[in-house]
Amino acid sequence: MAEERLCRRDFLRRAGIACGVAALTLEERTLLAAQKAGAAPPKEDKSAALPMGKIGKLNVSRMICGGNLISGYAHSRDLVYVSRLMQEYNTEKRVLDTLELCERHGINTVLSDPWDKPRTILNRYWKERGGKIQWIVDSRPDPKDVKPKIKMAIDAGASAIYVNGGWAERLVKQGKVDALAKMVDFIQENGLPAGIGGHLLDVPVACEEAGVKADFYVKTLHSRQYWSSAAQREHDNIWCRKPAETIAFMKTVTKPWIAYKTLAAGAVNPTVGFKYALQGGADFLCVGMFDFQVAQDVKIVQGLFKRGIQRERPWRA
Amino acid sequence: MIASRVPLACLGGLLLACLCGCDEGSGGAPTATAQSTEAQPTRRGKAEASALDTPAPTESGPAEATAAGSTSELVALDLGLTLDAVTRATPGNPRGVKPPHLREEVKREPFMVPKGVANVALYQPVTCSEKRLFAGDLDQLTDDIKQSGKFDFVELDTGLHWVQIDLGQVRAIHAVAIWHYYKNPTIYQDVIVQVADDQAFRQNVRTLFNNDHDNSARMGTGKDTAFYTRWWGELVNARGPDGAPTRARHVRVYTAGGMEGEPVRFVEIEVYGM
Repeated sequence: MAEERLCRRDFLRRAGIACGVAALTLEERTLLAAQKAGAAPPKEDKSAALPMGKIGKLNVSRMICGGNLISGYAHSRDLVYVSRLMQEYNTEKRVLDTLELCERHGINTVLSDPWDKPRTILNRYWKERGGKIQWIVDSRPDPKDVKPKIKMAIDAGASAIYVNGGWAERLVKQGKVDALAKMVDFIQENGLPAGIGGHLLDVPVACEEAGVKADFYVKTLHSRQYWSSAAQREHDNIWCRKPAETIAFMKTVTKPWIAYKTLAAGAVNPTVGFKYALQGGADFLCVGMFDFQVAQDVKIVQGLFKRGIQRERPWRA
Repeated sequence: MIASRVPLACLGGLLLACLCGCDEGSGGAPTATAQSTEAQPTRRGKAEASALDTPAPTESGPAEATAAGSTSELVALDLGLTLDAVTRATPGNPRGVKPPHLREEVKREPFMVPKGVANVALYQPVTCSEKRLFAGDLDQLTDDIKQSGKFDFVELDTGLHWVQIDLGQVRAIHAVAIWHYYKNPTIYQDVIVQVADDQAFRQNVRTLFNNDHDNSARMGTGKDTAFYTRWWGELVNARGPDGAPTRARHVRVYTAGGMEGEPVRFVEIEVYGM
């Protein structure tokens, strides 16, 4: 499959050649005319950078690029073809281009798992494209021996490491919060900020009660105001079951909070979702984006900050 | 593939020269009158037009733009309509009933403004007539995003509604640009653009545009033309007959539902002034 993106310009150019201008709709002719007239590509406003926060010693943009689109998890409810579609669309070249686009728009950090595909792509990105994007790694260390997986992430180039949400939930359910503490300690001993992830509110609650000294949390937050959140039988459709309680609890937490799944994997309007998360107290938004979404999503977040974000939880990063 | 997508309705367009825009309404004269059900005279520049007339001449030219005494350089207003800034609409026009005052689409001439005129509505707060939106967030109307995709619009109910922008201070307004939802070309009814000095919209209310040809909105019969919503937006001339910009702090845009019963949907509103 050709890696080049069939963008509107390409589509119009090919359509014009193949069928003649007369066969195009009025709108297509108008757009083609604008293209021929040498319409300038959109200017990037480099002065409108994304606001930044701190996690440990890291300067992190308030919007972080999510890694599911790199790894290929679409959370597509019952549309079984979407993950495959995403993987076919997001070729390695396209992912590299997307990372470059992210950096150009002020996103300086990506968050993903450390498996082969993201590891390979990020190393290629740093080496071949000269990219500087930081990498927060989602790790699943074995509670019996936390070192190998964490070391793998460090060797792969992690800037920070956190315990994967599902992984942390399992340990909390098993009463093994001390294992989480060991993971955090080992990460910090290696000079990196250490975080703990979770879809369930139980995770940060248990960690705070146990006094786990994580540097940050990665916790889902989205409202329930979307159609598939009401499904009676859960099927990859909801990631924050108690948003109000999450907001209330996180007000008591002084550690930086990266909110993820803020758009409920594509079901929520970005303006609505980002606003909800930032007003709800998140310090950072982790957002999985296709290349065609980066510019607009960044613009939305910039706009929210320019208007001023009303929130009760102080900025903790 | 392309040929099969050309509906019959577009064949008429093939007779036209390469087009780049649509004639905006003639604009309305600011009238210092409180809102009432009395007929409100709308603003008339030299470019008065209706759908039944021949295409409107250009809006106020360079001389009128400086009639207020300014000698500043004039530039063509740039609405930022790059290929990536707008959405490709569903081809063709809807086949339902057309209003009698639907305008013929012709190329929109450049709208000349003094250098330094900018979108003073950017990031300004927006209020509306509804307590609860059906979709979207009002911040989207002043966020400089003119896409018309699934999450790019604010939806109110059917019937007459309004959205209002507080510019933060009194501004000299040259033009108001409005993008209703345009991915599916729609003819919205009773599009009325007004300005006022106060948030409650009681002081010094003036009408800049009114295409309510049958007074169904009970705000006075308007002489402006109906239009299909398009990616190039609707540009309303806010200058008076003398070419002077209108001074106001609050801008309100009324819209009733679409001719096919569509709910009221807005994508973006820009107010060009100083």
